[in-house]
Amino acid sequence: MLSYLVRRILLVIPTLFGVSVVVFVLTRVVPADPALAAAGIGASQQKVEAIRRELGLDKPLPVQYAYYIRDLSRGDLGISIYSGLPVSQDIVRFFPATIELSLTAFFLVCAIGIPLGIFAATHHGKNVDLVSRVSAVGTTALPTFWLALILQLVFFHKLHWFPLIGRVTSFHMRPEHITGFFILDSLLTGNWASLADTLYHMFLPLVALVAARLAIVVRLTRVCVLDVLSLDYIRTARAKGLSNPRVVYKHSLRNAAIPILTELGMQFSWMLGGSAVVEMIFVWPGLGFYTITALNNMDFNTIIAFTLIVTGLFLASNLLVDLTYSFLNPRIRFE
Amino acid sequence: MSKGENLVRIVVLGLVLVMALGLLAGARTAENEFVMQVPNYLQKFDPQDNFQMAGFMLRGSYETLVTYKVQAGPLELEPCLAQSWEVVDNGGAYLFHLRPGVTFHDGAQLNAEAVKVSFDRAVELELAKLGIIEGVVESVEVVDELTVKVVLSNSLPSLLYRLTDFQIVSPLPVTNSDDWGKTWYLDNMAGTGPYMLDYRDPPSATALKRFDDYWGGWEGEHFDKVRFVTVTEPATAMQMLEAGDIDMLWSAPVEMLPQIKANPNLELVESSAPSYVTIAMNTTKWPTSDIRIRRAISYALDFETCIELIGGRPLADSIRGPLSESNPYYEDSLPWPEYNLEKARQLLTEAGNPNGEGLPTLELIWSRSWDYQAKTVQVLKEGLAQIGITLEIYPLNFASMLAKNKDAETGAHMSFIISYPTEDAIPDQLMSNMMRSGGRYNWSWFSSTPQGGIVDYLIDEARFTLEEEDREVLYKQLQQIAVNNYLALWPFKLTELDAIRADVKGYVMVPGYEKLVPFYHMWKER
Amino acid sequence: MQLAKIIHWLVNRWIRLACVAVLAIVVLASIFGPLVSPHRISAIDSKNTFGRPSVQHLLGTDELGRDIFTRVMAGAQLSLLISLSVLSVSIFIGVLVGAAAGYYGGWPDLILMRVTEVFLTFPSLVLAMAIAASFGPSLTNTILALSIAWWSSYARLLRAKMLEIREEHYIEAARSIGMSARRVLLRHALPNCFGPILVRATNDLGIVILFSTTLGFLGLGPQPPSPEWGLMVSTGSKYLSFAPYYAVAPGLAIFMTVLAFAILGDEIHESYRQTAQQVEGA
Repeated sequence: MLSYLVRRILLVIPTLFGVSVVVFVLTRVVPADPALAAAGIGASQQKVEAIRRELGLDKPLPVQYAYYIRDLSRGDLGISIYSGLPVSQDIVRFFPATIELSLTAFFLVCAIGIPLGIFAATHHGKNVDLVSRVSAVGTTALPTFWLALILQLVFFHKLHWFPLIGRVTSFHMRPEHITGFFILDSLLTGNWASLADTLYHMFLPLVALVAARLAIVVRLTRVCVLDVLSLDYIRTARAKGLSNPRVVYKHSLRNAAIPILTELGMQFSWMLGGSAVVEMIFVWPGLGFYTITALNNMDFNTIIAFTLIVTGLFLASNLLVDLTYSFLNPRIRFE
Repeated sequence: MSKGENLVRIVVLGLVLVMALGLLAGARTAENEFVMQVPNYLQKFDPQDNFQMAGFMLRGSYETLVTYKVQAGPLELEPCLAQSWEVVDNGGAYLFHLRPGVTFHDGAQLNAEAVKVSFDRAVELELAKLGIIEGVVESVEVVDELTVKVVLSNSLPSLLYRLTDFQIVSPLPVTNSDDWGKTWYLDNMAGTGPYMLDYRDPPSATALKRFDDYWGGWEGEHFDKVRFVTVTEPATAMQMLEAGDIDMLWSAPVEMLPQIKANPNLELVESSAPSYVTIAMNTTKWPTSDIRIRRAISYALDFETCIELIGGRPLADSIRGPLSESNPYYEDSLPWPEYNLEKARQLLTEAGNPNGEGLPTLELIWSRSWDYQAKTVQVLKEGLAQIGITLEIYPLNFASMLAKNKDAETGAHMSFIISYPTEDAIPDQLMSNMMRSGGRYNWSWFSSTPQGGIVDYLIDEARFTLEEEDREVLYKQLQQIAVNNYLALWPFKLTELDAIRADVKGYVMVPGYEKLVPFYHMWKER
Repeated sequence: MQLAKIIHWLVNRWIRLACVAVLAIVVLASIFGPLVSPHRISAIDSKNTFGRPSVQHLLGTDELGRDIFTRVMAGAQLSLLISLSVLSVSIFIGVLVGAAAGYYGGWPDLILMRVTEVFLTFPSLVLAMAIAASFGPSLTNTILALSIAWWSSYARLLRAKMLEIREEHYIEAARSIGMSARRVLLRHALPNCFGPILVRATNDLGIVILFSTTLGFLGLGPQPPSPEWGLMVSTGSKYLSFAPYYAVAPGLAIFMTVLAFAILGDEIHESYRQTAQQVEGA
């Protein structure tokens, strides 16, 4: 088991290398002059040149790449021309909001999607199945940005049921800062008003994020469970007289789990990327919002950093999924 | 009870629960607070390094030696941190007598040393505001505790107008750091203004609270708190304004005017000094280097349509040149722009490019934050397409525009400029920004062409001369040069509108600044 | 012969026919709409801004007086163009890389798959955003960005399928009679990969539209006055309170087009699954 783990983690390294090369190429392709951006607007020509030498931008590309990797390993992602602060500092500031939103959405997708999928599979062919299939496909086709706008229009403008933007109503509603995750922090400090305010503000963004992703998970779960239910050993189990629920949950889920897990891994990555649009519309102060604002300000360091982080997280979640596979399916371990 | 029904029940229950949270959740409290929408979060709090439009926010915290009086017009200078001043050395220097008993937010005292530090800081760090004093102010000297001497390189009648935009910062963070406070001032505030930083919540909000030791005192009606909320979508901001969650919009979109007028809780405030929108053309880069092509472009712009689209007269109107009509140096004989596709086509043929043959794609850069620019750009694109010229448009933010136009070679063929030519001010800064070599918005680069060499000379002469008549002649000449050489397109001027809640009192739009919301002079009626 | 089978399949369930009908309408509208319409897509009419829907202007007019309905149809042209381009490029590269890797194995496989994996690691939307932002927003760059983000999933698909097919009897048979590896690849192996590609591509045609309109919404796609759907929703959202059709119409168009592709793709997938099950059962 340990050797598999080690092997698996080692495999990640060439991928990381490749990712860093692609991202590096991107940084050098941008039309803006990074030296000018770093030096600031009022800077004299000499200052710009000095910064150019400092950043190593006058050296040949492979050397620049080496500098780039060195900086990355030190956690130096460059300066944001938008804020004037190091990008890493800005990211630390905005990271928790995005993670909180994405993780909660992801959790909801699993918690609602999988049981719904199983439900649809066990009631295969009946009306409920059709409804779930249609709504599944329907929500996938909805553009997220459009859904978010409609939600705002209906639930704030017309009904005044939910707030329009932000993570909390005002600064003072924030819980004490422990982790940066409002739900956790307010629970830890027993600040119920803060918890309520946070969840209240999270509702619409969550609906926007969950709606599309739910469908895929429901559909996939249904398909996998169906596939497995029709396999021989299930029929045997049924023939032996095992009651339905036990059959379903004990035998089918374990095997259906594998493709579902893969998909969930991809969903998480999508959620990190797709949440950017939701964050922008709901002014949710997370990484996505920050990145898109920076994008509009031609702050390339930020979009590059964002790409790196989201990709890194995706890699990590893939790794996790693979390791869970081997746990679920011992056969894989020994291949 | 089937599973389906159970499911529905659970969903409804969940929905009700979440909405019930709304009862527990916070609502806007009835504090004496002014909440304003900003379209972008102001990241850098350094008043000396700021050209982001949201820099107006810092005017509540930082002050200048002299300032414009808070009234709807006319433009009037009044003392601020400097109580009085006099011109000495035959116009070669100004002596400013500082107001006694003024403290900064961090406790430092306002004195001549502090003022000197502010000036030196801008020079040392090559900050954006350096452009205000570069080349005109030679040095700043301490005469005594409350007297500062600003030594000029030449006589400069417009010095006071320039100084209305040069903020004085506290010297403490400068002396306590080894980078002249560059990093500290990015994130913190220490000025003499009535409001100090309460908290930052990037990117959602910035909040200011009242500075109790403000020299102006707190008698009478003033807001105790000011909060800036980032809302990027104008439609969203409008909804929040109507709901009372914010008190003022950054700018009132022309399409929402009927809605605003119909709402008794809202009020529309008009600016007395319209903003001038021009599109500079790069006179050094082909094809816009050819004056016939510039003229053709000018004939192809359907400015009447533009004016209609952005709200029609009297909100918007045509202009002819960079100066306001009510400015004393305005040149009356300038020609009005004309929309004539036939003439445009003729000119192209004359230039050797009939129907645009042989012409490359032109680049135009504009600012995404301004709705009227989006519309104008599309009208222009259409017009040019009809005479055979292809236009590519690039929305950029201001900092990026500056970066792109750092020199004539990389600069775009056409760039949007917004200026605020006020009635009474000497148009020195305006002219030099737009036409002089090294000017911040000199995006026609005419001054670097052989024919344009005279521009720098004229501007400098006008800047330093003490004779009113000479000045008038010079500025009129400059206007003629600008218009007759087609340095820019002059689409229109636009009256800016603000939408504000009706119970907020004391707001006037002060001309002369890009945007100034005098929070200290405003209050909320109970 | 093949056509008859397809038609038979379509007619079998009404939903399949409905999807094809919707798509046909979209395609026809995109091609003929702007040609037939009395309005030009960039004709600015300042006297007629925000006109209400009427017989003259079915969906009203926008902030520059342009006919929204015509622009929505022109937007269909753009979206379909982008979608088809991206998928063509992706499938082409994916086949090149994936099929070669799967068929030849060994070193080519190792290298190609490592490269593919690197690109697979990037979340597609984020990579597309980064590329579009870096290169500058435009129609060509949107296609470029999305193609770069998309090809890797086809490479992986092709490789997996190719690994499967490689072991099939008819491949062995062809090799045993002396057919060159390349010929076998082109004439026997590749055609059998058609199935999974079709399923994925049908679905993806819709998903690419979702992505490209998201890029357009963020301002990273074709610039104004392009009638790109995402851009129209973005502009229209400013006027949501008094001209809702401006933002709703293109959004609805996106929804219907993507839905039609998705359902069709789903149906094809279901059919394959059922035939596969039948084959296994037998």
